Amino acid sequence: MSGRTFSVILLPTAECNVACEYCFEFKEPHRLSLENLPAMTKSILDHMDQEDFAECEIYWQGGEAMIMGPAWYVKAKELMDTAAEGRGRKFVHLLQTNLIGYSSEWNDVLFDMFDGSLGTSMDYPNLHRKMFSGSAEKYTETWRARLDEARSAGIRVGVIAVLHQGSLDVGAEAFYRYYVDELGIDDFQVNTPFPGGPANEAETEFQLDTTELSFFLGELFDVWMKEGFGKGVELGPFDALINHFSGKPARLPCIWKENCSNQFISVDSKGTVAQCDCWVTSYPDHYFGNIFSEPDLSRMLSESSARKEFVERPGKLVEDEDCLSCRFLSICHGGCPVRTFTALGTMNAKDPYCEVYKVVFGRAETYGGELRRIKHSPALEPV
Amino acid sequence: MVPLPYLSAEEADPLTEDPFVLVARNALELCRWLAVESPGLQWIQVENLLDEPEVWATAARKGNDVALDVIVSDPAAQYAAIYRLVDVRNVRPVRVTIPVAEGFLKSLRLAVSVHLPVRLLPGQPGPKAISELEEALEYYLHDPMVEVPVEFFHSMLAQARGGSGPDLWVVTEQDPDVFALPDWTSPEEVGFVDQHFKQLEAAGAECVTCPWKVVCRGYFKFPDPEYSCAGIIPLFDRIGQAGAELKKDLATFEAANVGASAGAIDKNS
Repeated sequence: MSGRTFSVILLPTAECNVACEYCFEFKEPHRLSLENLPAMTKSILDHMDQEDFAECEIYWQGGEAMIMGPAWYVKAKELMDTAAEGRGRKFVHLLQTNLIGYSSEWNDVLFDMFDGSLGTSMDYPNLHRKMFSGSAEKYTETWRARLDEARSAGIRVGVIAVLHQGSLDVGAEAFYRYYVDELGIDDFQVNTPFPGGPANEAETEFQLDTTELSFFLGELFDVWMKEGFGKGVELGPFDALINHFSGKPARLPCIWKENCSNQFISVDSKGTVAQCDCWVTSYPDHYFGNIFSEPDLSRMLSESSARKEFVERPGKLVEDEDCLSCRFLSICHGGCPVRTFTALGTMNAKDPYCEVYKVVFGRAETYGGELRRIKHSPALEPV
Repeated sequence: MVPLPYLSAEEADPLTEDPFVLVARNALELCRWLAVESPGLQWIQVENLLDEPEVWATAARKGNDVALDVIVSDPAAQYAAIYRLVDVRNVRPVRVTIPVAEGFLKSLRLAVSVHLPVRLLPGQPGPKAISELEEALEYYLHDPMVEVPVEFFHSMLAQARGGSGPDLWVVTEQDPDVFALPDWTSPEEVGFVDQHFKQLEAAGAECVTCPWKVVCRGYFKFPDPEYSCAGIIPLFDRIGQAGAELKKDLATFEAANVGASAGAIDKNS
């Protein structure tokens, strides 16, 4: 059996308990039933057999994943893991949640199923994540309370921050201090935004000037290296890039993989299969198929004309764009298809954040090189 | 020494324990040999299949562990197809072999960018290919993003920094005394490279005074002994210079290490 890992971003519901302004997902009251889960599990396991994947990471997202309730996950885990074990395969479960619905009732399942950790999201400043009441302040207050409760229970919490104009306006230093000093977070990640899905008023806040964004990320990199790197603060994707450039094993984010189409898919509660959660919730023209009506997942993926476009994208980019002459091709491969599609209406172009990435890569290369030199410099060995 | 035979799918016997290289020229042959456990099989040389995506999807599933040497027959046109090897690389060793012809640098860059080791087959390159070879060498020597070996540069650099090693015929796996290549057309005599080089010396070829004759052994004078090495010698000079720089840097580093260790002992004593 190969050591390759396959990943499924599984959306058990399209429902959500909050009303973030910039959400790209199409919300509807639909949940994955435990009656349908065995069929979905079988399709995934059949595909793992076919492609010889030993392990499958299940990224539980939504909608809001916690809407399903802890008891649902207990049964889902039992059902999926038993089926996998019977076929010599393994599921690894990971949870991404807005935390708003967290309570101590989740702790058992968080430890049993998710290895005592979860991922959540918070932006700084929070202007656009809102409760249904319309208040961002209330959202932040509730989220912080849940964060504290979860951490008090021993849950490890990683945070994703989506950058918006307000983040750039407050600057990198204040941004970093909010997460690390004010929240006490030692594992967070910054995502570049993309105004996908249905048009909404907040979109302009997420259409960032690339020069301004580059400057912000460069400064954030500097602040993290100066204050966080040596103290064990993990800040993605900078930490993965530093590992790469300092000669350590690195798991770069999906936007910079050689070809995301070979590594994961997303499946929603109705069984819709697409490349990732962004595609499955926002772009019906790019669906690969439906896992309930086409249970042979391997066949669906190999025959889907929509997926073929993803598979062929990196090759097209080196033919049609200037990626082949870029010295960072090996860690970028043209960037993210959905960011490109959202900005340009086609995925067969390089990522609109290309110049931003180059700044970040350049920073990482410089710092990584310095770390290598320090590591090998006899003059700096402790005596 | 018995040369390693390159056998076609018709000639090869999966049960033999004698070492051999299987040459797969169509999808059926490759898929069949990926599924068998053959004790003598050293690797599979894959020819003319880069344009068939389904083959690579099959090769990315586990099957056996056998390594693949994928020939990029038209490197100026087929470079984008190298992306098809990414998943294959995750389950078995994969190397790409690229003939040095105009436009080969595209294939080299892409192979390196997806972390595939490369074997360049220089042959007797024309001016444009030599110009690309110079660019390729600088890329290999000085771009820190290059993390895989690019032969023949790699072995030549290792020798230039003071090591010993095989000549260019062996490094490129084209010495008929070591590799019984399927398309070899010269007289099947033992000691081909020695004989070839002696003939060049006897004819007063530029090899006689060439500083790189020990590692080259007349490689670039075959098949046309009149081929001018005017563009090749500076390339080897550059490798030699880089090897010397590397050797000096390593010596400086080691000396500093010794000094630092001694200092550390002094301070602790």
